[in-house]
Amino acid sequence: MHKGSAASAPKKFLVHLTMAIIFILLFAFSSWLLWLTYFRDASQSEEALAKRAVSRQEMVYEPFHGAGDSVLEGGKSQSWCLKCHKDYSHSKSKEVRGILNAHSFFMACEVCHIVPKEGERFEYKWLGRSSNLPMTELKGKPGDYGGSIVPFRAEKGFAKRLDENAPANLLLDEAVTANLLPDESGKKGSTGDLQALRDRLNTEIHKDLSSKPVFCDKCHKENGMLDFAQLLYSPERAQRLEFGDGATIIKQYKEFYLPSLHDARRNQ
Amino acid sequence: MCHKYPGLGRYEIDTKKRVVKRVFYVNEGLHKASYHGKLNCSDCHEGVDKIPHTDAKKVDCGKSCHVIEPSTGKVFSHKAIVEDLKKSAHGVEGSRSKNKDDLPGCRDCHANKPYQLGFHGQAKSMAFLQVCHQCHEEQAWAERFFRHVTYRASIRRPSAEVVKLCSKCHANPGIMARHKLDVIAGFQDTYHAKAIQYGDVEVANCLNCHAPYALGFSPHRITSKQNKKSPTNADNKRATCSQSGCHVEATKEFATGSKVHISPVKAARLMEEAEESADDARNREIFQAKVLHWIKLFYQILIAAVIGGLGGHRLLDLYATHRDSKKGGR
Amino acid sequence: MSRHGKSEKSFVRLTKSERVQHVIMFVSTTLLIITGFMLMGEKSAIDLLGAAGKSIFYWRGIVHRIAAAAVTAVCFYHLYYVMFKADGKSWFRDMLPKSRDLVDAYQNVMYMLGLRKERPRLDRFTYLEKLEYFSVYFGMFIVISTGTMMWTQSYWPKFYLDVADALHLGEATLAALAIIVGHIFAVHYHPHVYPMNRAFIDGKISETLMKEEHSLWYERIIAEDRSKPANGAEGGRGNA
Repeated sequence: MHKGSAASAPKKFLVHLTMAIIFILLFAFSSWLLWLTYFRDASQSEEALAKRAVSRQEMVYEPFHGAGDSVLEGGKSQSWCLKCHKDYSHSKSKEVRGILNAHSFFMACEVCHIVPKEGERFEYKWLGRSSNLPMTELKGKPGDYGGSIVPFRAEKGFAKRLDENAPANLLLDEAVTANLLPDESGKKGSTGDLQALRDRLNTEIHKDLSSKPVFCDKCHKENGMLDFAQLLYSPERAQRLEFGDGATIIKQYKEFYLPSLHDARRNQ
Repeated sequence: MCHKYPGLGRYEIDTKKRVVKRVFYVNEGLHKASYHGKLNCSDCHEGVDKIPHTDAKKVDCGKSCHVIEPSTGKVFSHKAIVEDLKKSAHGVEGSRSKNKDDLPGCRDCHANKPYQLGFHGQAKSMAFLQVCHQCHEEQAWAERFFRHVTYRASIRRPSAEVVKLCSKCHANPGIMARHKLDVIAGFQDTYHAKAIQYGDVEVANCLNCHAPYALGFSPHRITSKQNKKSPTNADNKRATCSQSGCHVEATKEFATGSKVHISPVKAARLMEEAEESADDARNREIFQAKVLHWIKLFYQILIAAVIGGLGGHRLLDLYATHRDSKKGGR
Repeated sequence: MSRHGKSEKSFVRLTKSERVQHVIMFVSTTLLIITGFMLMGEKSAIDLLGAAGKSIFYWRGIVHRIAAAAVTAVCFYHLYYVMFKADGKSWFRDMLPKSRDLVDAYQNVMYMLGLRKERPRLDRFTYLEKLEYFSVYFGMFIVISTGTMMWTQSYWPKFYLDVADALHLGEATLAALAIIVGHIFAVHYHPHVYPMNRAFIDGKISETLMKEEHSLWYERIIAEDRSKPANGAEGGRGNA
């Protein structure tokens, strides 16, 4: 008799399993039916609709001239800064914000926003967008080689990214938990301790930033800040970056391009 | 020069006070393959000689461009359509709304897409294209012309896309309130909407009823149902419903019996306006909203009672059976 | 373990005709519930179907109509069955609600709550089974009539169709939930019958279960058998 029941054990288990699975399915289906009957209307109230519509407020016009998804997703300079500043972060100086955003598509923010101190020299490398590893050649077309230029600072014999900031990371985690990051409108009403945390975070994150970022003509000139040849550009392309293309326009730009973004933030 | 950089772009606040992401990148290959691929920048964009473009004017789609319209030999222009739009429910002249600021313009619906045919269409057209090349030497021209015709002849916007497009504004309670319109939230509960969600391409989308090409209307001439000529006017609804391929046997009662996609929000509001108004149609709408609400409420109560009672009884039974088996030692 | 043993005596619970009616009914009802509630699915779930969605939607409508026709046919046949067939007539007679059912319900609840020592003794159909049975009459009347209206939609005023739609949905929700919470629980998950009550396949009910749940009926049959010639298979409902 014991033998018989032992032989049917796997079969019994299978029956239990089937019955359990069916039970779960039926339970899920019944729950959905109840939700449909009693709670679905709430998801279609005016408030709920408005809430869904708000996210549509931030509209992306389908580009008229053809762009492709990678562009619509926005600039990805692989910088820590993007945790808050998002894509297309330059918005202040009307005339140049577009061209600056074109640069942040393939350059980490700190390339321009952290100026090397006297005698200090950063090492600039292309890092692949998906791999995050140094690139060995440039494939693709100008402005989109699938990676970003990232500066490194030599520290105790190691190359360290400028946006690696442990205390800021800790503070940011704290801020995320407290739901303190700026919302879509860029404003967040907060008081007391939260405001203090926010201030500390702001100071910590922005402490290395230079009040005057690197100007266009610091790189787009002969023997500028960036060694284009060392940055894997072909000799012809490097030549163009130094003398051609932008270089002539830049002279025009210089008259009115006086970024004051971070000055303003300091003074607040 | 600058516009070949993919990152070129910015966020800005547009005239409708929306945060808009503007992509200024021009993908040359995609642009050349698009409807406007033959045009140069300055054909549409005026005042862009200076860099940075501080004098750039807004593109006017109604201007004449340098293309010759082959049937008349005249200079081509979208002017007629722009004028149509002006007089339509969406236009400055045709809109009944006092609020003319956020009426849609060309760009709200149209992006200049590359000519794209489905896989089968493409295979077929590519073979057929060889026929064109027999006479028309200029290959690029023939290809362009051919793509234009075959593309325009096929369904250009799938139903799901039409619904999504119209919903950009018509599902937004803020915008609709400004124009005293009902949001289209009720549409998603209709059979038509579900069929569209499942991918049916033949079922009616917004335009098939509100501006059916089949009956000689056009989206650019879309009008309010209060317009006597509108396909959604009570007098014309039967004809609209009974278009070929749709409800061909539709009676007048079928077509005009009640609102097709009243939103739950509006139905709830009608319920609150319980008082009789002088308007018969409105009284009927209120009555209908109430009846449907009562049915729903009836079943909500019945389901709660039956399922609560039955469920409770079963659980109790389970408990009792368990108690018995313990007592009985089985 | 021995309660469902093979050697045990059993009784006829469902005739062959009743079993066939039941199979057609439950297969088509399942299909109707699935294909019907597909129209209430959320967009995010529908999107998962991808390109297959279009043909799934096409077949959904066809399957729903075929199953609806099948279930309607069974319902009408059942009406004929209870009116003109001997087994059907006795079925319906035993199914008719009596004032005793209210007493049974009260006593059973009291027992389950532990306020009474014995379960009430029940006849062929318990009060819950009667309730379920006549609910099906009510439900079928609603879904078949409103379903027919929607099938012939072009001939009805739109508002009548709105009403039909609301009733069809409400009744379908109620029915689906009642089947799951009431029926499926009773015939599959109740400890007495888990994993399933085989009556819908072989039509038999064991003597143990008979005594436990339908003791009054059990006594009735035994008494009938005794009063008649010894041939149980012909005269009574019990067999060995």
